[in-house]
Amino acid sequence: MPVVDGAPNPTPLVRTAVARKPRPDPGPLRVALALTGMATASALISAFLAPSAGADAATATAATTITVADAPAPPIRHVVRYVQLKPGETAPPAAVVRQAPAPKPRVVVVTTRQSGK
Amino acid sequence: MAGPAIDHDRRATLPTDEPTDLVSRSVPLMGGHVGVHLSPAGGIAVREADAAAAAATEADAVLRRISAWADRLTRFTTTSELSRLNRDPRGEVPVGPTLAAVLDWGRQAETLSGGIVDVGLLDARLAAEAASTDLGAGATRSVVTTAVTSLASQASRSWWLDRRARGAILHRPVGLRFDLDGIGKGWLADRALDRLGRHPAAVVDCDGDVAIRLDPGMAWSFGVADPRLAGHDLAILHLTGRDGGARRDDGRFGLATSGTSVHRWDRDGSQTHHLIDPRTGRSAETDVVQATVLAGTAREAEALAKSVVILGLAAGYDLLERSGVDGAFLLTDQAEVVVHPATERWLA
Repeated sequence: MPVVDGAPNPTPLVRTAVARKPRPDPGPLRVALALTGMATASALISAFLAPSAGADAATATAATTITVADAPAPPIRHVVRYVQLKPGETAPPAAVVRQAPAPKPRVVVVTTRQSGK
Repeated sequence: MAGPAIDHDRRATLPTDEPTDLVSRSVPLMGGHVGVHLSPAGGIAVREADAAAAAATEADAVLRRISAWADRLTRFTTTSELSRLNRDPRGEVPVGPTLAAVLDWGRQAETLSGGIVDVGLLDARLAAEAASTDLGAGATRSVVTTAVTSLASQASRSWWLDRRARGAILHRPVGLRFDLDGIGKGWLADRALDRLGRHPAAVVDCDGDVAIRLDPGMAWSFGVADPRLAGHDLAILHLTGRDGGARRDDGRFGLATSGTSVHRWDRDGSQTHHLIDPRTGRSAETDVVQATVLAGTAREAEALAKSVVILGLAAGYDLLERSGVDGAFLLTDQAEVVVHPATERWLA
């Protein structure tokens, strides 16, 4: 609305004497909703991307990630039980070496002979 | 696989314990039979029947390609590129890429065999054949032999190729004619095998000259025919992929047999055959009836097998030793079978 200098002020509205109830601060709720949304989205993404784990496992993984993000990762110990030796490779010390079963030859399909012409 | 259009499927003739995924196709070609044998490449999303059908289609395409190549290289038709070359009166003749490649291999085979393989001996071979059929008088044959010997010693190797982007220019003495029967089949088998690289096992059999590729875990058996008894084998070789002893990383082998049994003519008490000794220009006088060689390629195996027969047992065995073959069977005129030590790993 344009303001004209010197014009009388409009008459103020008459308000009741009832004090307006203060609104709760929406900030914390918005933060909580945002965190919940992020957690849900993360869980859904994990469920879609995980190749073999089910949705429950993916959700649990995501939730764990959020709540214990600062917890130290448990130590993972890799145990090599089997290796397939390539030609020329030698087995590690103390390893048990098992020979792969020899491929079963097919029956004769071709015979070499003196040419026909 | 299988369908009414597939005429040459040999699985029906195989024993019942043969795996059902073998695809075999063969056609009459080059005076004998040419076959392609495959263990079809599969995959997660490929049904076995689909893989076999695709492999059969691919095998048929390769057989057609072999036929097209052979049409250019044969001397038994007047329209082949080789026949046109042999009729051409010029000393410098352009040749196509296929003929140039085979001639180039002929030159390499000459080096590999110490000069025993010689693709410039067509006239000598024709003379050997003519001496047993059209020429009855010994005097006439001696005239032909003298002329051929002269040609073999002077002109058969006096040619070279000037390679171009496609094909080459052949430089030769006027009148020199070529015979690629001896080296063409091995070359064709190797060349065709190059087109079957996606299958775990593939074999191309060009009438006894065999190119083989086996992936790790694959093992196929191959017979060595006994020339004295049709349908019988001198030996069975069990070849395996590169994890089973193949010395080459690509899992490839070549298996070929040469000998004097098939093309042999008796006339007036003398015997001739189709293996010409370039040192004499006549049929080789040899104590080896048949030689089978296992090498890295079919063309090498073929060249070495032929050379061993021409050289005879002693010199031929030395050639095998120098060449580092993967195996060899030699049948002598005394009915002895001489087995090269490298062969033992492949025997049953």
